[in-house]
Amino acid sequence: MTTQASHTKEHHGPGQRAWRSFLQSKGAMAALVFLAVMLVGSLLLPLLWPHHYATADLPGKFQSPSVEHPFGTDALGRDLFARMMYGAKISFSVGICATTVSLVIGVAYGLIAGWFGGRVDNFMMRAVDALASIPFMFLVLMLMTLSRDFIMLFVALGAVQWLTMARIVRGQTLSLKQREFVLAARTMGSSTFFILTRHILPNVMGPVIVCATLMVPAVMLEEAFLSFLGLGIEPPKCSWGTLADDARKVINPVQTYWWLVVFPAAALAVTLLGLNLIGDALRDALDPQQKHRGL
Amino acid sequence: MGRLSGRGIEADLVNAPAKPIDGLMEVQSLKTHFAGRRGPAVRALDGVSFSLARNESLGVVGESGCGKTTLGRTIAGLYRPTAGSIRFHPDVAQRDCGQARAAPGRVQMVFQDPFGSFNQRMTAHQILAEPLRAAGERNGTDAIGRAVEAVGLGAAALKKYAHEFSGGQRQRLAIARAIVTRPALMIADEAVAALDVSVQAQILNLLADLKASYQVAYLFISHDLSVVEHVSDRIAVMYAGQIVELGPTANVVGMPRHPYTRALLSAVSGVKGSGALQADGEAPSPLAYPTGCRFHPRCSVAEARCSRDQPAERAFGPDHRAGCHLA
Repeated sequence: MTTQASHTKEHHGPGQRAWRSFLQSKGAMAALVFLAVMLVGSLLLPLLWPHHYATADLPGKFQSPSVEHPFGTDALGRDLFARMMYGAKISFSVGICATTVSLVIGVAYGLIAGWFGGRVDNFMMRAVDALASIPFMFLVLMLMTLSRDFIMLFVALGAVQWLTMARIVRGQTLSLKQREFVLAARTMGSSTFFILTRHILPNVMGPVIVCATLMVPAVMLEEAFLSFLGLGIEPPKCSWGTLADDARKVINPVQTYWWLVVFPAAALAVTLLGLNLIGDALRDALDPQQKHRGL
Repeated sequence: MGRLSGRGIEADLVNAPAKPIDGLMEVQSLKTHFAGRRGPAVRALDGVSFSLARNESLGVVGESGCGKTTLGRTIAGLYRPTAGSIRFHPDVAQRDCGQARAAPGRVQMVFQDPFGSFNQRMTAHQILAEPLRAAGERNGTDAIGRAVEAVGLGAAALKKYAHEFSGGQRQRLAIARAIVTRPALMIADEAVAALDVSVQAQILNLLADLKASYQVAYLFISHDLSVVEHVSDRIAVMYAGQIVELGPTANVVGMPRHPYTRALLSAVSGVKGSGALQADGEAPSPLAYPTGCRFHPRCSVAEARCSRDQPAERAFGPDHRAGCHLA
């Protein structure tokens, strides 16, 4: 079809208009640039950095920040900067993978429940309610006793987060299927698959994208929280959460190694702020109540 | 362009009644009820019978809640009828469903809201390609070009998104989407109700032109009798889920038999006098219709038997019928 090529200057779909509005948000752009720099940096810099994240150097433990170790060293003399770059990788991949897991499960689940409605919907959503009523910590503890594997962390976090996503998608689908363009598609005999993928899905993506963007920081925070409790990443691997936990352990009345707390906590805080700024800007850009969308 | 064939299996007619119908469509004692969560069902459509000839336009008129939208949507296949039957001519019917369902693309619908009728994320070309795709038509570019031209939108319109059109243009696009598969029947549900009066006239003229050039039949649903009488060969007046009067437009408008039809007419023309009647009060609830004649609580000429006995339909001339004791 030639229609994909027709996105010329004059004709903009709602997706393109939302993107333009997003680009105009200064806070979100700054956050996007910052996160991109940090992500690329934490992937590439370790190749050049002289210190390995897991190499201990006991004589050089608890060094305060210097030119050699810009963020100082920890209780085993490991370079904190190297460990934080490694931790960024872990924190981001937990955030992104768990969000993707919940996105795929939640969207498919919500679409099916909302579209078929009636008993199917009732059964599926009661199952969601039942799962949501299990306390988060209880579920995570249960899953973590099954396996302490890294993958289990994704599963545990994703298993909790997809419930919200399913509810959002189901609600949107319920209202969309009564809209006239969906009724028209049914009258003309379009297949259920076509209606779900071409009519319903593109129109629920707005709230879904916003929810996913805000879910990434939520998951990162949960991972940090779990790691802080010793349920997350196993040493010598580390995330920003375990780094903060390590710092807490070595605090004593005589000496506080401030750099061990401040740098991981600041990195986490700034990242969460940035992701939330992006989520808010996306929500504004995709809001159907927005004035120039003509609805 | 050849006739569109259904996607169904090319088998012999299954469950086909012995005698194919003469006209385009025959609706027999059609009922569509909606089950309530608790309590009685909503009897939106409660026993409707009529037939439709090819290239004929039937206006369906009545106040809101009378079941006219449910009628259109049931025929379009959006609601499953509770009882009764819809039968299409074998040329129009889907093969593996006997005559009960129209083949894809043979019955199309135009909705009231020119804003909600389109997926905001599709261009006009994509919008028009969808019914062709659903009907199994592969090479649709010619058909799309012809449909766009027929409704008076230029070919440049194909690249635009729905929000870039005005209300009238959107309704033209909705009509193009309906005729692109060359349907035998187009159901227009309040298709001009949301438009300015001047644009209404343009759209009504367009529909009249298309009736001639595309040989399409219309089920034209509206609350506005003055709109319906412009485009209809025959008019069906609906009240409380039933057809109370059905006849050729000239007869129904010129010699209305049912007091409700007369009330509708006087509301349109503002005529007062002996022939004029008024229907005060509200339409009955589809949860509990009045006994006897459903119109009797609002009827200014009702007698004792009207609240007791349900009036039988009576013929007034070959093609004109009404259900009233006093008609």
